Amino acid sequence: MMGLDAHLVVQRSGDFRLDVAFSIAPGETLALLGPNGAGKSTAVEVLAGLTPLDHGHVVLGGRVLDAPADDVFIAAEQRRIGVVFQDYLLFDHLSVLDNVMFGPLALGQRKAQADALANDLLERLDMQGLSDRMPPQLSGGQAQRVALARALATQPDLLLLDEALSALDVTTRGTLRRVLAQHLSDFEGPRLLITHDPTDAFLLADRIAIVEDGTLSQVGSAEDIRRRPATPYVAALAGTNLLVGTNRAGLLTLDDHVHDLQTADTSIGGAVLITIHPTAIALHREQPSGSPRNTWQTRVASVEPLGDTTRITLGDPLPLGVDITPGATTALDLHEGAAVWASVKATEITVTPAAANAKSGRN
Amino acid sequence: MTTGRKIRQRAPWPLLLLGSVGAAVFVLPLIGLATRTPWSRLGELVTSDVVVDALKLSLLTSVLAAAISLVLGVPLAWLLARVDFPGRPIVRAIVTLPMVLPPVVGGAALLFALGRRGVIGEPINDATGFLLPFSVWGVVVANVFVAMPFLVVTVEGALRNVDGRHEAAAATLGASRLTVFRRITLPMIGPSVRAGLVLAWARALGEFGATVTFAGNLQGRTQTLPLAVFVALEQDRDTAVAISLVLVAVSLTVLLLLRDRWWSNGS
Repeated sequence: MMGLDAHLVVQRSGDFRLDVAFSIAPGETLALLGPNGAGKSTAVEVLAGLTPLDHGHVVLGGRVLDAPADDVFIAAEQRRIGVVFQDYLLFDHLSVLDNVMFGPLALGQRKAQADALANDLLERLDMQGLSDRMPPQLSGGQAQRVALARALATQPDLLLLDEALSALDVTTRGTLRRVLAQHLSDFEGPRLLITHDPTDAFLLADRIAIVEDGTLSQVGSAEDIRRRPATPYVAALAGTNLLVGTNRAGLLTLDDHVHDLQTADTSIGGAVLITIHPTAIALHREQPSGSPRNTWQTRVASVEPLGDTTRITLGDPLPLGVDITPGATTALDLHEGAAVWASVKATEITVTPAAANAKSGRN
Repeated sequence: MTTGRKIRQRAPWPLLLLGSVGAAVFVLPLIGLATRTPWSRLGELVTSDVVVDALKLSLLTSVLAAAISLVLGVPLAWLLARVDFPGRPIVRAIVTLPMVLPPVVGGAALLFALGRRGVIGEPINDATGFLLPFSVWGVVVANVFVAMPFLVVTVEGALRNVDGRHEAAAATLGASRLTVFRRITLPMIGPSVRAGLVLAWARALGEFGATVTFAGNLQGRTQTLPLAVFVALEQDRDTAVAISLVLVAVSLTVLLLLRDRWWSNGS
C-alpha cells in the first residue's frame, strides 16, 4: 500500500514502553488520541525520525524509513514527513515567507521556484499579506497557518500534526479547526493527527486510534467509539456531547431536540456541529441564576460511577452526558429519576461548521 | 512608566558598599594614569614612530586574531557541544588551558611546536623557508592561542542552551546538519557569537607574554602596544603613559560602542 504502515515499539528507561501498530491510507486522516503521558509525543519523534525505533517498522509509500531488524534508519531530513509541531517552532529570525521557503530551499529547489511555491501556499491559506512579518508578530492562529504552509511546502509523503490546535484559545480553535479540515482534505497523502482533545479527533479524523499507557486500546470510527467504548477512558472521551443544529447570531436551534441554546461564538453561522464538554455542564437542586436559555430543568436518566468522576446522563429535553465528582453526586442526591437543574455557560458551547467537516469534504 | 515618574529604591548598604569598592578597583588605576599623563606633550608623544607603528600593528593583529578565532572557534565550539567523541572532556580542558596558563608558558610551547627547531616549524622551514616566530603572523598566532578560548567557551555555552527542537523542526523540513547549523543554529546564538568575538578581540589587543616569547619585540614588525609600553617604562616614562592612554582610549571606545549594539540582548 502507498500509505503509512507503522509498528512503533520504543522502550524508555523506567517502565514506559510504547507499542502501537496502525496504518493510514492516502487521503485518510487518523487521529491518535490519548491523555498526556500516553506516548503520543514519543510516536511523533519516532515517525519524524528524531528518535530511532527499538523494534517494529515505519514504512511510508512503500519506502522503509525505520526497521531495526534490517538495520535501516532514514534520517529525519530524508523522510519527507511534514510536521506541524505543537507550538509551531517557527524560525523567529526568518520572515513568514522565508520560513515557508526554508524546506524547498533545503531540498535543493531554486530560489525562484521556492518563492513561487511559498507564495502560492500562503495565498491558499489567506496569509499573502503577511509574508514579510516576523513570527513573533503573528497571532496564534496565523502562526499555525504558517507552520502548516511550511510543512506542506516540502510536498511531504505524510502530514503529521502534533497537537496542532492545543496552543489556541477556545474561540480561535473553532475557526482554525475549519481551516485545518479544509487543508487536510486538500492534502492527498496520509494524515496523522496527534491530539488529547476528543473534539479535534471526532471532527477532523476519519478513524480514531486511542492510545493509553503506550498501547492502543481501541481503533475505529467516531461512531464505533461512541457506541462501544472499550475502556473507561474511552467511555469518558466518548461522552463528549456532540449535537447538530443551526447557529443564528449565537442562538442555536437543534435538529434533533426541542431546546435552544445560546453560544458566545457568533462568528460561524448556519449549519453547525455543537460540542459541549461533559465537565462544562453544572447541576443544581434549585433553579440557578443565569441566562434562562442555557439553564433548564430535567431528570437524571442514569448515574454511572467511573472512578474519579461520575457520569450523569440527563433525560429530555437534552440527553447530555455530565461528569461531576462522586462527592457532588452525593451532595446533590443524584439518582435515576431525580429532578435537577442543568446549566452551561455560553462560552463553553463550541460550534464548528457542519459543511466544512473533514469527512464531508472528502466524499 | 511613560509619565516620567520613577520609583526610587535605595540600594541595601552592604551591596552599595562592596559594589563601590569593587568599582574603585578599576577606576583608581585610571585616575593614577591620568594624573601622570604629560598632557602638554601628549600629541607629540602619541604621534611618534614607535607609538604609531605599535598602534597599527596592534589593531591589525588583534582584528586578524579575532577573525581567525571566529572562523576556527565556532566550529570547535559546535564539536565540543554537539558531538560526543571519545576524549571530549580532555580536548575541552586543553582548549581552555590558555585561559589559566601564564601566557609566557604558552609562548614557549608555541616556540617548541612552531619555531625554527619546532616539531612542525622545522619541516615547514626546511620545505618553504617560511618562519613563523618573529613575524607579524607570529604575533597573530600567539594572539589566537590566548584569545580563541574566550570565544569557544562563550559559544559552547550558548550552543548548550539552544532549544534543540527548532533544529529538529528544520531537519524534518529536509535540512542537512550543515544547513541547520548555518541557517538556524548560528542565527539563534548570534548574540553570544558576537560577545565571544569582542572578548577574543579584547584579549588579543592586551596580549603580552605569549607574543614577546614567541614573536619577539621588533618595532614595526612584532612590537605591539603592550610591548611598546613595557619597553618605554624602562626608558621614557612619559611615552609609556602616553601609549597606555592610547590603549585605554581604543579599548574603551570599542567596548562602549559595541556594548549596546552587540551585547544587550545576548549573554
